[in-house]
Amino acid sequence: MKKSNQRFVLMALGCVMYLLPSCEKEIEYEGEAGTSLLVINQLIEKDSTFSIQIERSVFFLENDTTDTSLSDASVTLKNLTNGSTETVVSGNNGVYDFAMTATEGHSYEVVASHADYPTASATTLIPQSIPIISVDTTTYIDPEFQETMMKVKLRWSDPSEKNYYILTVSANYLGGFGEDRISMSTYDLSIVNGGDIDGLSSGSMLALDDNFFNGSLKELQVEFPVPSASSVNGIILRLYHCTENTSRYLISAETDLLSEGGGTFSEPVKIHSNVKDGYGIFSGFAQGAYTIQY
Amino acid sequence: MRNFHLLSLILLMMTAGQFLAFSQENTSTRTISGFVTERSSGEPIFQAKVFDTISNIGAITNEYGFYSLTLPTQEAVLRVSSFGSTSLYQVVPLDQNEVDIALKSEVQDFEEVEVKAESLEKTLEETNSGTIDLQLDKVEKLPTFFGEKDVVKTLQLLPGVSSGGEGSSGLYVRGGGPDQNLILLDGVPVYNASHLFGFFSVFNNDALSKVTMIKGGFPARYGGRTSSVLDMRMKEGNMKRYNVEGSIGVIASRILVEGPIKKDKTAFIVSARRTYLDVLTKPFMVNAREKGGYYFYDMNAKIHHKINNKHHLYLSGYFGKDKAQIIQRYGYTSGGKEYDYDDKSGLGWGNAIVAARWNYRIGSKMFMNTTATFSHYKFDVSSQGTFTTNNNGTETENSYLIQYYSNILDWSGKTEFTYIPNARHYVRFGAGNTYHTFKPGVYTDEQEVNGTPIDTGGTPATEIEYANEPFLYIEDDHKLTDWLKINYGLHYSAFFVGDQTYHSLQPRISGNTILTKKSSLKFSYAYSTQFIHLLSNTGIGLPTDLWVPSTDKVGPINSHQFSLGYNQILGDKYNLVLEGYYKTMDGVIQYKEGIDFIGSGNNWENKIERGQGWSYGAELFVEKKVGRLTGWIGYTLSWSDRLFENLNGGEKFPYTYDRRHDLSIASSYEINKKWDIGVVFVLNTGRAVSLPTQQYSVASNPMLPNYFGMSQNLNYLNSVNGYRMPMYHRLDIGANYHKQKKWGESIWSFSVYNAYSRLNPFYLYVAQYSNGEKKLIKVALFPIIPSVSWKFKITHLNRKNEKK
Repeated sequence: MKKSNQRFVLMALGCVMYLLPSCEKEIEYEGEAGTSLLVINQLIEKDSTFSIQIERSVFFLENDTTDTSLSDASVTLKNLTNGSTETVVSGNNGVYDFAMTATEGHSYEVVASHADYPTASATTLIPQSIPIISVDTTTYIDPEFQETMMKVKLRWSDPSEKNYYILTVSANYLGGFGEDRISMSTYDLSIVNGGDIDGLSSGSMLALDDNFFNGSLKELQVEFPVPSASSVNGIILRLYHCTENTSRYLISAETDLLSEGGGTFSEPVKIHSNVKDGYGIFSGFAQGAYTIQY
Repeated sequence: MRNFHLLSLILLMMTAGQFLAFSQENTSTRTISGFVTERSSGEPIFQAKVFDTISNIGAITNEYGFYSLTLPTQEAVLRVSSFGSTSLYQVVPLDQNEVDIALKSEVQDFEEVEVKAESLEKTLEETNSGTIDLQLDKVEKLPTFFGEKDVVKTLQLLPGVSSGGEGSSGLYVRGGGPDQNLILLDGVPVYNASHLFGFFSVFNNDALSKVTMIKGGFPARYGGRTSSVLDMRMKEGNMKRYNVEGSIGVIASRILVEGPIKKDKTAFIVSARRTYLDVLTKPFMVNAREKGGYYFYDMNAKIHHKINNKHHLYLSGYFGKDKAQIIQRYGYTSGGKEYDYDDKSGLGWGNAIVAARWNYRIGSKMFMNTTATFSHYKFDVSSQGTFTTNNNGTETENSYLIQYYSNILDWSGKTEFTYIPNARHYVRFGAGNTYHTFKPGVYTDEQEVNGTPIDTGGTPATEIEYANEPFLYIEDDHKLTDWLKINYGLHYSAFFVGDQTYHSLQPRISGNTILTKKSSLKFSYAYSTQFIHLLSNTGIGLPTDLWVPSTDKVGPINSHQFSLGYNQILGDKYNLVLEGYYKTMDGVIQYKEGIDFIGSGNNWENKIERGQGWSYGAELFVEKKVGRLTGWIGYTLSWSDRLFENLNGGEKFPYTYDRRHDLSIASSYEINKKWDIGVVFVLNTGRAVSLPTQQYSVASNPMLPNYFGMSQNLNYLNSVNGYRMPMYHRLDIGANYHKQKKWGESIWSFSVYNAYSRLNPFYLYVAQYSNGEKKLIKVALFPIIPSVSWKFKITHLNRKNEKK
């Protein structure tokens, strides 16, 4: 090729390369900003006392979101099962502590009011604990990463009504380092979150419902990498028995938080809320735990 | 439902009744039949009008140029005309009933008033509303994107049709999804019609002879999709002489060769196109550690053999592929060890289509077309390489091959008949079957250490689905009176997949009432069923989109569509169409919340939601087909919504391609014999996307993993697709310079895409800067893009032939 022709080709190519990259530009948000409403946040565990977080929601493009908590709201908690009521009018950094304890099988209602926002309310039932009946374990060496993997079969008895569960696995580290979550994986069909490639579900929180095992004994097999035995004091399996609201909220929250970093092409997530005239969650759960020593 | 079955029954009785009527027909008639072809090439002419000027009875040719005209037993004087050809008169004596006619193409002759009028009349008389025949010569005059003429991009300029986004070659017709369009190339469905991640369509303009789009109310002969039909016909090859055409553009070049293998007996046509971005960028990567490249090619080929006047054979094929790859090769030393890395990763997808066809003129009134087809679409992404570690002479080599691919393979056969008992009826019936093989996602992971395979554990069984999709149809284009014509018919189809069987009886009816000499009123109703789905959440035609069948868990899509249109000829040059439509869709699918776009074939049924869709709107189309200035203005006002039980809290939300307003202007002007210019202007409502409105803290709990602590904020989405991207608008300008050469014709095409460099948003995202400031950012793909291409038509061979 002649030099002049080469130059022409290179110039043409340069133009194409210059034009091809995408262009980004800041734009103004031109939709409805939505109304700032009260946020009631409390995922209450059976047998614990209520500590309800009250804050205000903010526009999603607001720069400063450091101080959204509201400490001057009036929050009333009512046990709908026995009629007892408690009101707290001052919160500590937006956290309103109550003396009332979440009792299994009881229903509760929270009503939060503030001079600047519409009154918000929500109700929940406190579910029963479901114990893990038995656990079988086996270990093997992963040939690819040369790390020890543990296969665990855990069993529990599912009550007859519709039930929702969340399973977590943690390692209890020695030396005061506390618990740290372990990511696990399973091919179990009952998993309702995190299912990604070819039926494999994985993550640090597996959510499942009892569609496939309602009212019967459930055996669930999961596997995960095992930390060195010298550094941990056992592996803790926690089976959380949740209300439907708790389950839906956690799944939507996890999906939203994951997909936000996951990419522009993720399907949008609508965060579940059971709060009337506000945002957030007020819902119960109970846990059953099992420690594996090895 | 009762009404629906009643309508089916009525249509069946009407169609069956016609057969009885035909058998009792008066025998004092004669039937003239034959083929109408283009004189210089021998190409059949579709929809040519054959009209007996004595009895005032006329007929239209089918897609193979066949016509049949039943007349009183007397001498006939036929006038044969077609848009773009010079009309011809022929006396047909009583003893001659087979008449093949060759029309001469007209070279832009602006005083052809008769043809102008006939072209407009034909639009007025067509039974189906929402049908548009694209004038391919006009496509050539419009400005291009990167110098590539693209019929699909031109179709996007029609009212009721929109693109998936900037630069996209996707088609969204009247609120339907891109998978709901039946895209036929010589009667064979094309699954992924996109090159270069959706920016170009796979169709090579040079090889096409006819492009028809039916936006709604499609006749009973079409089935398998619920939104529209895009019926494209390849040229059949020049029976008379050789012809070579080609073009060289900024990113691609193409060539077409056609001609007779045996004059007037056998013809061939071959066209090919390839991009050369990979070749152009190669010199810059000589010493690079990473080398990459991308190209696509496509090839069309066809052989047409005329056995005799009754039998024709065709063999056609399309082969196209996109390929992108990155090669990484480097070594480094660390901790006294030497490491070498060698990886080749690639992404490829493509279609292969083969069709064998036999045309048989059974008699003067009946025509048969039997087709056997094969269609294969494959997408694959793979990574293959070695990682070598040298530790003081001890070498360990890890090799791997990770591959993910999906494909759909169809074997299909059908026989169709055209029966023209008299000038008032045009009956079509046929049957066929498609055998589908779906491999929605096959994942393999093979690894070896020093040649010894290791168990990767995670390779699950492949889910392959097989399905049979038989169909049967009958339709009649029935001219009830001189002012009322109805096309009615039934399409039956079934889908056998695993243990599940679906049946669908689909009534179709459309009609045309001629109100005055210059106006008509058209209506249509179509019920259609679609047994296959496209899993996609990008809508931009990425090859990762997966075709999946209906299963026992996921049923088919069913759609009802009604439309009412009014046609008015303005003066003798303009055609105005005003049309309204209403469409319901049941069984549409969408990914569940949070699912990312990298699809997965296995277990896909658990990742989708099934719901309903509605779309309705009004379209205005004003077209000028003849003269120096040609083109159209199209405007659409429309709504398109979706409803899923588990999405958006069970509330209705706008479809992402819901466009309230959509305006397109496409025009070309012939300045003189050397220069013509073209302009395209597009303006439409921005795409509906999901943006949150409010945010708040996540509730404290022990279940979400630690890194989702209290500092994390949740985004509250008021409604799915509740936010509109900024309005889309764009102006393209082009000019063509024609010059006659000794060897033929040279055409230089200059185009400026997005002339005023509007940064139309492709997608939006929220950026958070280091100072904590949050901003909404739009990402645009293409600013102003000038391009130039050179096209040539070699006619030297023609002259040589003519001399002979």
